[in-house]
Amino acid sequence: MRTDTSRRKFLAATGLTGVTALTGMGTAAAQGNTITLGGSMSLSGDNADLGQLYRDSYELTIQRINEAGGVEAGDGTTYELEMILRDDETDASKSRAIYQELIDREGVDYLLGPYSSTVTLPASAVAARNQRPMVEGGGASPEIFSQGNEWIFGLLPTADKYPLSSIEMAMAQDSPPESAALLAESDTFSQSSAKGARQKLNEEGVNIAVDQTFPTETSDLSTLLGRVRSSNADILILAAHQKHAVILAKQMEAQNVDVDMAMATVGSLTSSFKDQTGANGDYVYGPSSWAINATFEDSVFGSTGEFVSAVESEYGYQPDYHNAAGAAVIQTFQRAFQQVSSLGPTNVRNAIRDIQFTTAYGNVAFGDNGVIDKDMLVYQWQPQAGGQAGGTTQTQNGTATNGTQNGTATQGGGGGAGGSGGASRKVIVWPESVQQRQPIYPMPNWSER
Amino acid sequence: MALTQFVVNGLLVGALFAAVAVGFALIWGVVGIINLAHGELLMLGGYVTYWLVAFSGGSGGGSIWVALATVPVALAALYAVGYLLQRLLVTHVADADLFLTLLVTFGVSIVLQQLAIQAWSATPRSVGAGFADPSIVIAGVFIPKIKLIAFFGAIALTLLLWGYLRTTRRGRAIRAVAQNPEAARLVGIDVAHTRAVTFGLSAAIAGGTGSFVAMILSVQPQMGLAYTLKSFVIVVFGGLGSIPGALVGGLLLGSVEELTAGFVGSQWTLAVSFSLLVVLLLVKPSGLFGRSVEEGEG
Amino acid sequence: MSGESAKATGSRSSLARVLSALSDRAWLLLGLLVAVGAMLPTAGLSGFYLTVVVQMYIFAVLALSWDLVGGQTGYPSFGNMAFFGFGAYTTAILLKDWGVAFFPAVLAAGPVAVVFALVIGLAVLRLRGGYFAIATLGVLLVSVQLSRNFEFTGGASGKILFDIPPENTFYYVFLAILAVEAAVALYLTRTRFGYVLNAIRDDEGRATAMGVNTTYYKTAAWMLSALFTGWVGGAWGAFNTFVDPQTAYNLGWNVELITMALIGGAGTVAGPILGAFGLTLAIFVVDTVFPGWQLVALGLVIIATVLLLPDGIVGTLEERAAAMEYYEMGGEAAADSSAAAADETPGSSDPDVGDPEVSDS
Repeated sequence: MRTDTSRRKFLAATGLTGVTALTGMGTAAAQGNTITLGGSMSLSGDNADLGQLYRDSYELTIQRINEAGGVEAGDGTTYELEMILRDDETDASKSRAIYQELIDREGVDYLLGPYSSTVTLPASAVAARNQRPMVEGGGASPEIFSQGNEWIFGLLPTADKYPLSSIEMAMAQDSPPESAALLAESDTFSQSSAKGARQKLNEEGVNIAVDQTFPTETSDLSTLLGRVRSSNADILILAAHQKHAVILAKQMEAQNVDVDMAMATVGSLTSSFKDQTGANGDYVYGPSSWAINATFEDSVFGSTGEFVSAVESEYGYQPDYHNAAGAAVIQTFQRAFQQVSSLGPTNVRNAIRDIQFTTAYGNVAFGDNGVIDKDMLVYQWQPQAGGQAGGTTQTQNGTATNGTQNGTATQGGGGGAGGSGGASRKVIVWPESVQQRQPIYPMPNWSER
Repeated sequence: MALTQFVVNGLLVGALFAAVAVGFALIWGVVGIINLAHGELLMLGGYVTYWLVAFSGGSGGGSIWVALATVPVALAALYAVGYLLQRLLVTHVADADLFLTLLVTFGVSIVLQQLAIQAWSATPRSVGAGFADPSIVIAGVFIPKIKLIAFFGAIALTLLLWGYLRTTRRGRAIRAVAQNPEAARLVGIDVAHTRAVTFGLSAAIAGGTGSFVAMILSVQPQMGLAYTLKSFVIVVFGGLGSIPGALVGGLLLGSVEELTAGFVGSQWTLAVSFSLLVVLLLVKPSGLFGRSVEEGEG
Repeated sequence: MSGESAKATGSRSSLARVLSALSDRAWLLLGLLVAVGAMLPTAGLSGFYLTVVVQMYIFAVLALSWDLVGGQTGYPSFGNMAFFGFGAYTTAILLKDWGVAFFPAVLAAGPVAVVFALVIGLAVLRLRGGYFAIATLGVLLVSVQLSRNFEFTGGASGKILFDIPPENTFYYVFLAILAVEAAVALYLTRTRFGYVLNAIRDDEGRATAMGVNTTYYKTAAWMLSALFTGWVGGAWGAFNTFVDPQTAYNLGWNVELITMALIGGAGTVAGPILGAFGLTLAIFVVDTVFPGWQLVALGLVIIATVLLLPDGIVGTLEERAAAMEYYEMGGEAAADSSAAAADETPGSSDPDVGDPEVSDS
């Protein structure tokens, strides 16, 4: 940046590397017809761990679509898909400029949403102002969809729904809870979740004995757990992210917190959660918008099971709902392109509104506010007696169940851990229509484990 | 009962805060650097322990002794990091305005943070070491054994440093450089080397504390800032360059935070500690122990 | 700062001549550049590039405001983003909860920040140097926590503002804030007020001994800094469509703005503005080219700035000019190094960014 000319050259060079290097797709379509999808993702910063899952899914899905010949759009032309993904550092002040840049400089007409609600909010405003459709699988705050924005479509249930199914499950048990403890991290998403939980608990007539918000920086929950213990709450709801889910599981035993159900809205279902908490992570519940053993058909991967194995063989980990939602983001655009008679942001947006199809993620269709109509399933980590499985109750399909078991095995191997935690499996326990096993409710007391 | 439990919780984590702050105070007092990358050194120490335990095959619940055995490694590794940081980089601003040291070390902190993300991802990690029967219960007060170990470990690190500065030749040299670098140079002390040793010691103790944090809580690339800021509060409270001050300050800060979480509401913990930082600077700039921060600048 | 060199007589090095010519015509230059800036949207600046230029204006205001206390007065605040946040929240609350119109809501942000500055300043301006820096950092951190916990700020979820004016309106609002601030700074550095601030920076004890009410002057500078930071924060809040604690008190920006002032040259008017323009552009480029490595790049820039350019680019230029005065017969050697020095000024002759290329006297 010594002189003006060198800076201009630098900027020009940027433009070039921006398209080729970041897409990861070296080969342009033979005919030269491409559609570019663009977005930002938390590739560094607080949520870089989850951002990576979306990036992997985006890349994999686009790669599969292109390998299968591209997208045959409604205008009769076949297009290859191309992606530009920038890093927003999980910083809400970055996303605005990034999306504006993608639209103006890269000429992107179809936007992939970022991860996390705070980053998605400003991004969705850019989409609306520039009239470009944005499909996202990573921003769940209800505020995103309550602004009358007609250009944003979300594939996750809104944050306030995250704790609901777990509460429903608890209420359906033989000894339903009478009091609850609610610990919430101080961020948009968790506060929305906590709000949803609070409302639901009040409706069900459950007394909220502890209702505490803690700063994101908090790394020790001992004192809060001590309050939960002395309140004798029957269920414990943690509205936070993975860091706090791990701490919760690790400290519940030390603080001797015995509850009938402990659930975390985010982060209690990942394999790294189980690796780090070992046996203490057993019996912990968590919501997911996706059943890994489902048998949905998928036009790109074949089925849910095949999607799971595709991610496992490509990236070496078991996908979770973030991955599935990420793949569905790309496929939503693919479907919309197939349905419009001529490409263009408005046509595609209108097509997305009426879209209805299935992916590995499940049925995709959007409500009037742009959110997918989906409820959360409840998973629970259940220790396995013998290690041999198969005795799953009410599974829909044998092959899919095998997929799950393979997944669990991979996850135990990855990181060389999970050993002393015993062979635990993440199983769907609610709703009953899809449950793999009965929930172990109440969770056994620490003294009995 | 609740009160006792909250204070115990506070003391248990407070010892860790104290050990972090001791190193922070040492650098501030001896080299005249406010090290905003101090928390990142703690983070690196935590990762040393995490990876050593993971490679020895037990991140899911390895033996506590394996985890403890990694502490000396973290100390040594971070000593080297600290020594080199001072020699290669920080020495260039050692005599500059205190404010400039804030900027340089902030630069170091974000570089370390992002390198850690690139190397190990942002996933929070913790060493799963623990006991089958994790807590001692005395009269209804829960004391997790692993935290008790970390507590004594952190206190031991602090006392070791204190003893080192008091009794060894090198320790006396460090104190001499803190009081008057010019005079120290005149009596034949290698000031540059002494400062680098000091930085190394400060980093080592942060790294050792990081090991304990990895055992009882978790480590993550972005975790550093919170510990740096707590060190600020403690050093301003305890007085610059005072190890007993930092120790008492750390234990007190831990207790204040847990009492706030217990009686007022956990959302106010950080608001209270940061307000303490501002108020203490204004009303008691000399701290409760040791030299005033104003004097320390010279 | 370069008063001596500007007023020196006799044969001049080319660099000194250029600097002094620029300095003598600072008002004219400022006017011209603002006029150019005002015409950019009509000349086709829009979309992303407009966003970039707006971002440059925002950071220029932040850096220049910091410099009023940090550079001119020698009170290096490490918490200026607090005023930005106060401004952003003021505008957001007025727009969203009180139904106030856009312009009054933005206008109110400045005075509200000033009131906070007065209260905070009376307390923290008693501290010096690094301790002042820590106290202001503490104020910023407390502000983040309080905004997160209070009901009226929207808590952790913050405030969403979707119903906002078109982009061009924001462009002119930010340009106006920058133009007014540059004019005020330029004016003040040429009056007694500016000299007193510099006297406080150089030796506050002596200034007090000379009978100057230093508390009055430094508090005034601090409030002025807060006024513009608050305004730009208020406008930014609406521009971003979203105000929450993490973004409104952006701890990264807090350091970036200081780095910008230092790179350009603390204690000058042109320096912080040029530094902000240059570093903002550089950050955009790095964000695009090295996703995932931006903070490494930024960290290295910060370290390099402090180590290699402690006086900033404008400050270094002035020093070099002064040195060349001294070796006025240096001939080619002086001319060469002046050419090299001119090359180091980022964006110094870049017309499409509308640099208010002014130098103080």
